[in-house]
Amino acid sequence: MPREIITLQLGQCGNQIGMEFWKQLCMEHGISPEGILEDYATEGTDRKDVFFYQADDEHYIPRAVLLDLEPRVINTILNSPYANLYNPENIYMSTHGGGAGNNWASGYAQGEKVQEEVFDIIDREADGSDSLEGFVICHSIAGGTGSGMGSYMVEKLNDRFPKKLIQTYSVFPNQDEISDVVVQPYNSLLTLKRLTQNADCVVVLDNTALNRIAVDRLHIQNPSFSQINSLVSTIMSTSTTTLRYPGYMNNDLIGLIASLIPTPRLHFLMTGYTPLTTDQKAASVRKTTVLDVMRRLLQPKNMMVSTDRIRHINHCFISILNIIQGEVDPTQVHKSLQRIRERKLAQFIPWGPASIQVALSRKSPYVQSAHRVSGLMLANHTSISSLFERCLKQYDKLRKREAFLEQFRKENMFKENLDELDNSREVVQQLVDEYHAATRPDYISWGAQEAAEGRS
Amino acid sequence: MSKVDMKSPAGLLHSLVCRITEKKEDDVSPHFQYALRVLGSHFTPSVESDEFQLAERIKRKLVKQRREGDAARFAELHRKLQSNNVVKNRWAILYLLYNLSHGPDRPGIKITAGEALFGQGLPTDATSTPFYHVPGMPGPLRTPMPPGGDTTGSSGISSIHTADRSDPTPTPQSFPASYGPTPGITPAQAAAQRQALGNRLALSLSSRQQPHLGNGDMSVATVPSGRGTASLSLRPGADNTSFELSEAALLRDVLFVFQGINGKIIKMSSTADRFVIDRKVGVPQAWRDLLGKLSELGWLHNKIRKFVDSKISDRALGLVGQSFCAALQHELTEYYRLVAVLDAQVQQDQDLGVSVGSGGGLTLRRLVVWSYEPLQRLKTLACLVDSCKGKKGGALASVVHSYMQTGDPSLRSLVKHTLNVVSQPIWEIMEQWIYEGDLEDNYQEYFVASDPTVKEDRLWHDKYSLRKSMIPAFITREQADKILLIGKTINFIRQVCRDRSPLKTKAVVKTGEAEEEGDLFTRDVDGSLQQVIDTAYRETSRILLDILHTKYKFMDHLKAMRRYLLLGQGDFIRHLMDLLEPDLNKPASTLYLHNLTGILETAIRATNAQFDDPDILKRIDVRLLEVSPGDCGWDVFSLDYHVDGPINTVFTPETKIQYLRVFNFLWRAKRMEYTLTEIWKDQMTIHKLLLKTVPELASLLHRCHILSSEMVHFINQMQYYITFEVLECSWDELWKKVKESPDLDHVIASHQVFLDAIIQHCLLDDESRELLTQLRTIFDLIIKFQSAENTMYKKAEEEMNLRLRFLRRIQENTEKGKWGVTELDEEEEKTRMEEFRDKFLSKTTSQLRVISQSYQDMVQNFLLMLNEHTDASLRFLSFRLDFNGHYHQREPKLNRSLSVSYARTRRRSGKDP
Repeated sequence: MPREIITLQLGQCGNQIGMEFWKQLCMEHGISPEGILEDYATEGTDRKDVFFYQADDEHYIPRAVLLDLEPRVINTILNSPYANLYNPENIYMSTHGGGAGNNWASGYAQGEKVQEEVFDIIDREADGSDSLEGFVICHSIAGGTGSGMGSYMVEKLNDRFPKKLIQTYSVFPNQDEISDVVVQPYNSLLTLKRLTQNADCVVVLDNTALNRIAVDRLHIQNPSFSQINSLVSTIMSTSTTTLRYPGYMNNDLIGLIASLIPTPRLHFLMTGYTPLTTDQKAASVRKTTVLDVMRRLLQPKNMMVSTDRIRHINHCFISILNIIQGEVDPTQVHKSLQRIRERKLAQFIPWGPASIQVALSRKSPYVQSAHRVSGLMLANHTSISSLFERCLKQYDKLRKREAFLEQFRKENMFKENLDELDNSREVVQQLVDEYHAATRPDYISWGAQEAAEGRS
Repeated sequence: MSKVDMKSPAGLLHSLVCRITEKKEDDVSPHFQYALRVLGSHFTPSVESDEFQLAERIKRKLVKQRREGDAARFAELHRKLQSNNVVKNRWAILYLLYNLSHGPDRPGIKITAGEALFGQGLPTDATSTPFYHVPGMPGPLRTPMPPGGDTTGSSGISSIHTADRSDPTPTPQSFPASYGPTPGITPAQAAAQRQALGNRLALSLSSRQQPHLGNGDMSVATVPSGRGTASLSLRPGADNTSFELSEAALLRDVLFVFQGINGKIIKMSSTADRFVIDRKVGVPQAWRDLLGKLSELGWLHNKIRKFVDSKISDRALGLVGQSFCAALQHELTEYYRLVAVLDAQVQQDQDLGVSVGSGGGLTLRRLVVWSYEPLQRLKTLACLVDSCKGKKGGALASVVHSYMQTGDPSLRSLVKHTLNVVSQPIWEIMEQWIYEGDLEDNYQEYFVASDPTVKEDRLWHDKYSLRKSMIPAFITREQADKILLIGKTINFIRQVCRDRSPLKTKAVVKTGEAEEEGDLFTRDVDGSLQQVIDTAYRETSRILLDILHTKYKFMDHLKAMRRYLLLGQGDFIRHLMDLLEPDLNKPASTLYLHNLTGILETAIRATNAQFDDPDILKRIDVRLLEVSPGDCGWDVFSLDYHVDGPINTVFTPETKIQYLRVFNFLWRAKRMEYTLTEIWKDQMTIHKLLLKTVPELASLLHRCHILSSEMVHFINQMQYYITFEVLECSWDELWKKVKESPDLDHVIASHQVFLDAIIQHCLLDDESRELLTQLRTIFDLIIKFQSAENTMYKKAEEEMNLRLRFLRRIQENTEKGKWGVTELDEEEEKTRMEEFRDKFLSKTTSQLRVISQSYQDMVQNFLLMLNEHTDASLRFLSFRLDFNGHYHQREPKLNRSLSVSYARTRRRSGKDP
């Protein structure tokens, strides 16, 4: 089966959201937790092969590689009903089981150590697919394994499979609460560098925004991980529906993201989803039409990235893709677009053509939804840079005090100097600059200035 | 009451009372007393004693009671009385009788009773009603009605008589029997007259019998012969015997003439084309006139006879024509019967020696009256014959139908009957056609024509057609269309769908109607035919659609068309492109169909297409279009979908060509999408690789990215437009329409609408040719850009590798403890880098700028053209392509024309944009 996607889930967070993701996919494709196709789902026109492959005995096995440096989360998975879903050979847990201690450097170093074993798994999976489209990596950027080992994996995958796409679902830490991981800014910065340089597309899952949404929009006072994760899994599964339910367009990952990402580095996407409910029973009384959905998707409160409003920069959309599911009258799409344009609900880049792309996708017949129409927005918006700026600011604060660097100095990469940190900061700063530049009409010649600067 | 002197007025009164009350003498004393009291009261009627007036009133009353015969009889008797002078006080008697007839006690009493009373002094035999049956009277002579005429409902005098008895007869205001021999018949009186005719005939015949039965009393003969009074006003006296013979001879002649045979003195003149009376024979002018009138009948008869005789053996006339002849023949037979009756009477008159003048037999005048009805009928028939000459089949029926537009009910019913007979073959063919689909129309009379040369695959479209001239006027065009469709559907089911299962249409129609068959078709213009057609149409169409949907999986094929020829199965198309790309990049002439078919197989097996019905999958095929020089594989490759059997009727070769055109367009657009994702992918990977070692490329690459993102946007929006505004919307509509379609024609039509809409909106129609050319140029430019970029990448990669080697050498040398680089090496490296930078970079940059510039110009041009296009839906495309107004800002012209076109649309649609 062509255009397969291999999913790597790293670390505590990555495995948790990964597990939710697979649960969701199983439900949508009518696959039981054991990987057996349910009786009611045998006559599907859905494409299961993108994310699953079929074992000799009709079992559907996810193309997933589970990696962690400590056994806790993976053990939870292995004790869940979904234990038999995964290929046990695809699960890698560090033998010492000590984890990365929330230290990027440690995670990175351990990743390097175990790379051979891990790449055995990945190579096997890659060989098992007809024409691999790319990798999807689930991780968080703040912890140790997800960020450190994740960074290593991204780099390595890029070397090994230079022609394959790397898409990541990266969970950004919650800024609203004080993290117990003190080195979080370092971890984030170092991971961001890899995401900028080595990933092709990063779907930003901002815990800050997710928590806010849970509290404000879903009225959950203290949202649990699983509640947040179900939001994440919804986003992940919806963003892949066009791959799993093929239609006229957007049937492969590359087609999906190529239109969203105009220049290689501006590949950080934010998401929005509406209508938002974690509990399917809490049916909303609102009527949902395509226009409603598309309009709501443009509202910042539905965005799953918390961005600060910055007055002096006209942040704007570089691109938008709305994936609409449900009973949609295709004739409504045009009307909705017209309305949005008339009302100027969305601000677009001044340096090139841009518009809202709409993909209508089929919905899984096996999952009942309380809503007639639901929509996911994948958007490339320049204001995402504020997230990186925040990250830089925190890093700078920490770095100024040279705080908590001992942990890092233990590892080879930082033994001699902290150039890597400085370099990362530079890369992230450049990214922020480029996003800022993209709000201006002269972005077309942005590289030229840089090159000129570089030469002079 | 025996003591009462029977001769005295009291005695008479008593017996009168007895008679009236129909009671025994002893029981009537109260009535007698009452009568005496009334008589004794000396009351006199307040009316003037005008005998004439009163007689008229009585007659009117009789007529009102629909007893015209009696009225006539009364008139006769009254007249006789007047001339006889037997009764003096006639008015008083009449007045009494008149009042008695509607006395309060006896509302039911008939004037005949009065007549009987009046004729008390006359022999009782004569008091019988005209229909008084005399025992022993010979049956056939008693009535002119044809045997069984009532039940068969056939044409002829009797049938009309029967038919009209049920009609509400308008009340004639007067019955001018006593005024003239040939009463001017107004339409209102026609019915009464017709009935009267029958009665009269019967009367006259029975009256002829009466002399034998009667007691020889003079008055016996006079009573019935009163019917013949007409002759009295003509002739001065009954004893004028000089004309007597000649009238009888004339009658005989006339009867010959009635049959179209030359008589002794009345002969057919071929020059005048009419019957003329020998001038030499002394016939009074009045009779000549009458004879002229009567001979018209003969002329008409001849005309009809000639037609019937000439056509009855003419097979080319067809069944309808034959029916027409049969109808005429039948009418003629009826007519002959009348002639025979008349002849018999003339014969009898002669045998008995009854003088014409005596009033018992036929006279010319009577003949004129009696032949009035047949004359009208023959006239109408002759008209029909004239109009129907050279016509056949449905056309003939139409002509007959046009004669239905007459106000005269008798003629109307004649025509209606003829029409029924004439249209019978049509109904039969139709029945065969709508229930069985058989077309037994050997004479091309039916309005459905079949072309036997048409093959099965075109059966639906070409085999059957309407013969417009043969559509009977009582069948509307819509009905005819539906009838055509019904039979066509049945034939389609039988021949193309090869479904031999019996159709239950007939049963359905029958149960829906609960009427016997005969009824269905004799009613021609009313709703029942419509109902039959509708039911049969619904039923057969339903069966056909069922067969198409279940046995032939029409919907599945439709979906397959969409999935494969309209690229709906995205993953399959994508994979197919992946696999085909190396082949299609080669020149078209080097392609081998079998290779491509193999690739197609692989693509099907590898994608979700594999889950499709194997029957559908085996129909998918590769087709190579005609190769023109310079074409590459992309230009000529096409998918094909084989259809056969009934489905072919929807997916005709013409629509297949349309599908292929659409496929070609979509395939090109898809290729652009494909190419651009390839470009994008290369950019992403190479960007990561190159920039590390060749940073000076950054600006160039950035430009490439910007340009390609612009292209991606263009193509993607184009594709979204195709998806939503073209394919999805049209498909939605098609799906809805197909589901609702009542018959195959609707399905075909909506499918055609679907294809036409796609063709139009995909810029494939003639109007959009320029746009399409412009679009192709844009596509070509994208390909050009790709190759330029690839060349650039190759060169850049070379450079990168050289630099890396140089660096490696430095590293190696350093490791060996030597100088990293020699001056020479460094110099070499530097010049090469400068060359790369100055020559290659600047060259590529300018090349790229050219491409970029021309691309933008073209897109702007394209947008301008879109805005000027008449098809409003194409503005959706321009709207999408320039959603954020990017091109607007760059091209002031676009701004202007766009606002103009917006204004235009606003004005046209009359609402806010």
